[in-house]
Amino acid sequence: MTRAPKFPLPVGRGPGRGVAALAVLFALALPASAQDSGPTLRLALFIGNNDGGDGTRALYYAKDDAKRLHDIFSRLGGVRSEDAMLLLDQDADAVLTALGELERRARDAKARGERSALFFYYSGHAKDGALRLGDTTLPLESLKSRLAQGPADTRVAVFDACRSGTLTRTKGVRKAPAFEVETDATRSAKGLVILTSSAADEDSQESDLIGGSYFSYHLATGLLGGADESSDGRVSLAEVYAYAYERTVASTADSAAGPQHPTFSFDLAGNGDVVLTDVKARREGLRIPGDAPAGLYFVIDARGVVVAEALKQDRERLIALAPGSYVVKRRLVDHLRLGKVEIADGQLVTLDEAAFKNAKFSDDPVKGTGLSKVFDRHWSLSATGAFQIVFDQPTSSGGQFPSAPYVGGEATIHNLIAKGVGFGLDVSYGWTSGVVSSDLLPPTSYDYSNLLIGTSFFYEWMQDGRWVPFAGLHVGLNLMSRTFADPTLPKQSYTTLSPGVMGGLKFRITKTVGLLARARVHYLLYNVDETKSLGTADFGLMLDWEFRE
Amino acid sequence: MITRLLTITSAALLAACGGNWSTRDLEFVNALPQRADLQARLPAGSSTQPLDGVSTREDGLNVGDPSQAWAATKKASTDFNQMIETVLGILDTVRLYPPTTRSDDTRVWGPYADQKNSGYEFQVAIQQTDATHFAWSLKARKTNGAFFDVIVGVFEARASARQGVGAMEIPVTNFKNELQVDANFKALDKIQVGYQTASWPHRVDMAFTFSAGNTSGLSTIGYTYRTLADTSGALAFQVRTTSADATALTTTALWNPSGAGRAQAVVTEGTYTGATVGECWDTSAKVVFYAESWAGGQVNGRASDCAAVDGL
Repeated sequence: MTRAPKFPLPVGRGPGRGVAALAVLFALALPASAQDSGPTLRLALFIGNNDGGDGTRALYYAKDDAKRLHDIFSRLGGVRSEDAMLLLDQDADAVLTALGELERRARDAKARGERSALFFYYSGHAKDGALRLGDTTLPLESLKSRLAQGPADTRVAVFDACRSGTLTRTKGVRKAPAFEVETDATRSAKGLVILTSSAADEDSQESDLIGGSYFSYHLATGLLGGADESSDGRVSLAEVYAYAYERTVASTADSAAGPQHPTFSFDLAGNGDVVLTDVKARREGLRIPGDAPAGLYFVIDARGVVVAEALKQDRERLIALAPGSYVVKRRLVDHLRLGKVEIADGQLVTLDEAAFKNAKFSDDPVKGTGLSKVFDRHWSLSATGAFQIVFDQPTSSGGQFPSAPYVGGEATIHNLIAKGVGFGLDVSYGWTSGVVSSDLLPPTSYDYSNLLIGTSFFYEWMQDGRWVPFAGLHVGLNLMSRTFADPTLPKQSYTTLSPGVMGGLKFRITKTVGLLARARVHYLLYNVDETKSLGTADFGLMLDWEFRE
Repeated sequence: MITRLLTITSAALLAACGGNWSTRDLEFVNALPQRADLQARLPAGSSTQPLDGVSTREDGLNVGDPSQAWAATKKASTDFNQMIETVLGILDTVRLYPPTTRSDDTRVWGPYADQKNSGYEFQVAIQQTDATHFAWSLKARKTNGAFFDVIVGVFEARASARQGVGAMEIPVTNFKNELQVDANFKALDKIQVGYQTASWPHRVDMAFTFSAGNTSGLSTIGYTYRTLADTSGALAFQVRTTSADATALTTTALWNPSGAGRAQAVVTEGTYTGATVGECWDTSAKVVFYAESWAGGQVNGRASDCAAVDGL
């Protein structure tokens, strides 16, 4: 089954404090907490694929989820950049190859007497007992078996996919949150831990407001510090799971698809806690001091997307954020509190809540990516200015048709039969003046016009981006005429269909207004005096309005 | 909805391809003589008297009198232009429509139903016989009957398809008993027109051959018109009067762009057959010089006051 796309994040609702912690019985992976001496090689593989092949609907944020987790582990998880692999839109073979490479590195570490830990993350489709990577599949059981037998001492696998809970049904499953954290673990353990985003009979859901899946979002924001229940600046697996579980269930409780329950399983020897990220060591981000008002703080990036959140109680909280500009929001009963934060490279900014300003709910800076709307079927209208060149001699030298400027408009429906596939209807009018002559015809002035009515089928790539390339087919009906300055000569007309290809690039000025540069090349058949195969090329600029929520 | 939209769009795009976009057509239609190219052009605003025909002249003219020669010239040019209009008008109408059929060297318009002659059709055909020569015809027929010629013409393109040397003949005897024609046509056997528009001066000759026994007693009558780019012109025509001294004259009038000009008439019938009458006029069509060649004939004004007309 697919991971269900886009359900709005219920806002204004705290996670509650029902889930306290988890008791985990596996070994510590970060060396600082490990009793076993010696370094630990941390390896990570992040896989994101929006495409699940036949029978699935494309996801919007699977790749973004993988990139987000990759970034967090690279910055905060002690994974060297060369040991953090990111696979986007790759097939099953690529995944197995990458996994094999990381396993080799784990074996090499073991040969050197080092411990190793592998973090495996997948975001995408799962269906019929297999991960769906485009048109390829990766059976879950075989992958689980491989991870279980992997050479890394500790293996943590996270699956953010629909029905991914099937992975945790067979062994070591706990009905979270029925765990308690054993914080004084003294012995490192070896084995496999699996987290899944939803239970075996549940969909996993995405949201435009957070720009990702609920589970991965809460996992990420927990790793950034939101899950640091102990306020020690380190986020352990137990903490982040408890956090992600609680927040995912809360966020999806009122969704149309129903609440989503992450699952957890382990098969480990030994005990201890796995520290996944060290927020304090990086000292880059936002510090919510202990004297700041208690409550849930949301961090919103420049896109209007929530990138992190933290429940502040009596102790201070750290949220590791990449350098940039953010708005921090605190939601009260009848209004919002908003403040701007600039985080420079390597800077830990202390939040001054007193400097926040009150704002109405209608001024909520959370806008979301609007991505699902981008990928929804919707209309757009464009105003066009273009210049068409005819691949022929000038009419003054025997050519048939002149080059001319055009103005017009176009109505387009996007994502018509599949994501990215569009259909357009266009009308444009071209005109110019020229001179026609031949061996027996003296230079004769004329006024030319062409009413061009066309239709296009095209594909748009990266619809969610600021730059949207597109290419496709276009067929135009040319209704051409010329009127001669000499009134004794008859007005002439010519009508023909011109098939062609088109391509261009859209630049989004705003979410709904874009500027397009487009080129088209057409075949033009002339068959009155003689049969000639001609061609045209037109280059246009278009101002485009997309009608979507 | 979407499927229907696609179907309608596709059907619309597949409909109606073709047209009359043809530079070759322009070459063919230019081979047909055009009124504007053949009609006489007289200087605008030069008339100071009504052009109500050739006046009866008993006495010679004095300096300052209205020029009778210029009045005769304008009357002759009006007749000339009306004849060109009559002959070529139908061609100009046909020219505004696209050909009905095209082949490499031929364009055919029609047959069309003749609005003035119920039950008849007409057709215009132009054939390019070699690189520069065209032959054309306007034919008529009873519906589904055999065609007969109404006008036949040839044209040799020189400077361009519109500038060259051409000729046409209207065999009036072919159709004057079948088609509705004007009474003047009934008196004719044929009209012949020749023209040259390739270089200046342009020239148009028109000859009318009358049927034997026609009431005018004429057998032939003709015009010759020449013009330069600056609108200087010359028109040779025949005039009949009621004067016994000069019953018929062949007149050659020349004028320059200002309207001033000169004319010489040779008496071809009457007491003074063979004699000449010379007349010059100014830009207001007033006589500046008048001279009769016969003994005792009048000479008024100075010949040196006559306007110069060069190149014709």
